[in-house]
Amino acid sequence: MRLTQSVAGTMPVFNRTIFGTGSVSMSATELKVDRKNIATLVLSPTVSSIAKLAQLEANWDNCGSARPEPAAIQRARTLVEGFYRFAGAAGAVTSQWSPPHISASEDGEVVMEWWHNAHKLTVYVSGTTAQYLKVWGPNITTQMEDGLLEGNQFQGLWLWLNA
Amino acid sequence: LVSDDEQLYRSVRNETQFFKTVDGAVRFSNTCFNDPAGKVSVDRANLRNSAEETKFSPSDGIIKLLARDIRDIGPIPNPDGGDGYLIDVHPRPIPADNPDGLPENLSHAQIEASPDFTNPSRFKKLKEALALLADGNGWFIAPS
Repeated sequence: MRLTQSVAGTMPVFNRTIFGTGSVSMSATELKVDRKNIATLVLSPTVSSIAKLAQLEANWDNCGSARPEPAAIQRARTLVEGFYRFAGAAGAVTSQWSPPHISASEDGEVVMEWWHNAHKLTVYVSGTTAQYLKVWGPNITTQMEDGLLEGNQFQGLWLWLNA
Repeated sequence: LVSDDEQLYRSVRNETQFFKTVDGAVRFSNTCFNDPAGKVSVDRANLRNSAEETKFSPSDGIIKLLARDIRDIGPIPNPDGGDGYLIDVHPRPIPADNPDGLPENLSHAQIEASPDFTNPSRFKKLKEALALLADGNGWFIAPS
C-alpha cells in the first residue's frame, strides 16, 4: 500500500537520509512513502546483525555460551519488525527509531539492547518467548523490572526508554 | 579472600556483540558477562603481572571492576524467603594440572551468588548491574 504524507507529517521513525532511494519519491510539497520498503531499509542493518548470529559456534564468547538458537534468530527477525511499527506508533511523543544492539545470551537467546540516557531496555528472544528487562540503575531490586513481552507491550517500553 | 579494594579484570572480545558507542561513550552489553553457570570469571589484578595476561586474544579489551562495587550489588531479596542472595567475589584459582585442561591461572576468581540463583532472570539482572559498573569505568585497555 502506498501512503502519501505531507512533509510536516513525516513519521519521525523514518531516517531522512534514505529519502531519495527507489522506495520514496519527493515533490516540493509532499512525500510518497512506501511504508513497507522504508521499514525494510531502516531495519536492514538490524536484520543483518541478527542473521549473522547464525554463524556463531558454541563458546563464541570464550565463556562457554551456547550457539544462538536458530528458532530464536528467526523469531527475533520477525519481532523486530513489530517493534519498529510499535515505535512508529509511539513516534508522536518520542525520538526516532534507533536500532538495537544485537547479541546473544549464554542460553542461545537473541539479545536486543537499547540505551537512552539513564534508561536501558533489553529484550531476550528465545524460540518460544520474548522477555523484557528495564534498567534505570544498578539496584536489582528497585531499579530493574522484567517480564514477558506480549502483544503491543513494546510500545509502552519504547515510550519509557525515551522518556 | 578477595578484599573490597581489589581490582578485577575481565577480557572483552573486540567483536560487535560486546559493546557499542552511544553518544560518545562506550556501553557494554550484558553479553560481556555471559556465563552458563551463572558465575562470572574475573582475574584478580594484584595476582597478574599485567592486565594483558587476562586477554584471550591480543585484540581483546579489558574492563576493570572493584570488588566492593560488585558486593554492593547485593543482597537481592529472595521471594522464597531467607536472607536473600549475596553477591560476592570468590578466589577460584585454576591449577596447572586441572582436569578441564584449562591454562593455569592462579588469579582466577568468580562473581557468585549465594545461594545459587534458581531463576535465570536474576542472573540476567546481575549481568545488567555488572555492565552498568563497566559503563561507569569505561575501558581499562581498549580493544585493538
